[in-house]
Amino acid sequence: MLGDNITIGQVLIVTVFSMGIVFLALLVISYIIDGFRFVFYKENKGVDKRQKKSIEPEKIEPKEIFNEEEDDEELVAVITAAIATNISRPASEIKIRNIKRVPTNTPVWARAGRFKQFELIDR
Amino acid sequence: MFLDILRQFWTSTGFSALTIKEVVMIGIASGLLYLAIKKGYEPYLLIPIAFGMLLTNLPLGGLMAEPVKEIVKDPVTGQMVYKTKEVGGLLYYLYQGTKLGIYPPIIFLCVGAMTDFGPLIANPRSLLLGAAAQFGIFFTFIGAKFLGFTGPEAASIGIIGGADGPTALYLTTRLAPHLLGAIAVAAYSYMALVPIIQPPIMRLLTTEQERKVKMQQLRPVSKKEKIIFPIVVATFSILLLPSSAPLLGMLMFGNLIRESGVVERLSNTAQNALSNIITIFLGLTVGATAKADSFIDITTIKIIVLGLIAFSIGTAAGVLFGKIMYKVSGGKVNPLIGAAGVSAVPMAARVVQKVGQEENPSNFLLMHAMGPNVAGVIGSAIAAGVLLMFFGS
Repeated sequence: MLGDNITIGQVLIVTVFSMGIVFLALLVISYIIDGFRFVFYKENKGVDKRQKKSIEPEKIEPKEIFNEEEDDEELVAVITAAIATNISRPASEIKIRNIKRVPTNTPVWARAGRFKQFELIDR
Repeated sequence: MFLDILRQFWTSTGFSALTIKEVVMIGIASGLLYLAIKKGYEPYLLIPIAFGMLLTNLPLGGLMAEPVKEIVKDPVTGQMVYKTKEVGGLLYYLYQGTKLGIYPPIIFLCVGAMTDFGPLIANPRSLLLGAAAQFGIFFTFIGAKFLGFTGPEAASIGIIGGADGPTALYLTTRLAPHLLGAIAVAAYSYMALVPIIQPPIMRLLTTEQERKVKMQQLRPVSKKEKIIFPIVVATFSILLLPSSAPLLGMLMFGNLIRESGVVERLSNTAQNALSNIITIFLGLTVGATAKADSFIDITTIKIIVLGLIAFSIGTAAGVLFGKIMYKVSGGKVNPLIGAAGVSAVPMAARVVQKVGQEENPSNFLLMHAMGPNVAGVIGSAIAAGVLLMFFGS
């Protein structure tokens, strides 16, 4: 459309027009994505289900500690504290019955990132 | 007799043909190798680029030599036909993938297969931050014009501000292939320097209170949304701007094979093997275009300086737009995430996380910054499409 030699005026027109197109395109895409939320995402249902899921198990859990290794007691303490902080309830309300190691699906980089976070907080 | 042989041998070696400029280039290539290996600056790209640069500047190797063709009379048909007299160099043939604009879109395919657009879908307004950060491209475009570059050259230099390697290489091969070496070195060096360039600008433009803002947790994004996203974005963007088709088309295709979940092998190949193979070819051949005669020139220094300006202005524009969003949203948006709009995935987002955490150790901005970050990739591909529309032949 334009050649090698362009005037300053043309440069400014290209700049304004291009920025306009970039903004317009991304704005329209952002509105399309807004549409996704209404069509595919049922906010309330999703939230209710998740809340139920996360609260129910703690109430049922009876008192029994799975002893296998020496460190288990410490592990239980750590897990209890983590759950207590997460759901904002005193640790005395939570009883750990069973601990099972779940095979991790987290990618290596995500784990590396988390470790880095821990290091930062420790400092 | 013996002396003649010795003399002939000497003239056949590269040592006899080595010029001062080539020695300087070998020094630059070694310097880049040092930065890549010892300092870890984008080693996956800088090592192939620097080694390509080294190889092409060793005289008489002919790795980038063009094939010699002659016109001869076909003995059977009697017609005049082209015949290859001498085949070209190894890197010359590999370079065709760069020159013809094949490798960068394939890299985009791989990037698409590696990218999770979830954070962007969860917070669609972050697309605007990705758009704002593209201002660095056009600011530099104007600056390059003032420094005496032609329109297509200025556009290619400006795109360094998009902080997206494949986009910069793609646009440059289309508009100003003679600047490819300098632009590649500038783009990838600055991308490696994002953690050094961005934080001072981010701190300068924001108040402590703004940097401390904690953002609301992002909503979960359903699989359906993630699958439909690439299809819709590709369709809309390419209809709007057909010249962006190679980059955006491949990016969204790569993302679709990732999110569809039914072609695991294709997705894996794109994320690993294909990406690595093309990176090797692209890096080596882009480096090989940096020949002493064209690279050691005031133009290269201008490009390096303009590239830094492009990065800085892009970051600043993103942060300033973030401040606008901070005001409009009533303090819910942390303006730092605007800096991630320059793309440079995922480095820029990690820088945002780090700077945010310095102010408030319990603040986790990473996922919020990933939105503008991947939006920046789409934004710079669209910007490249617009520039291609203006200056492409």
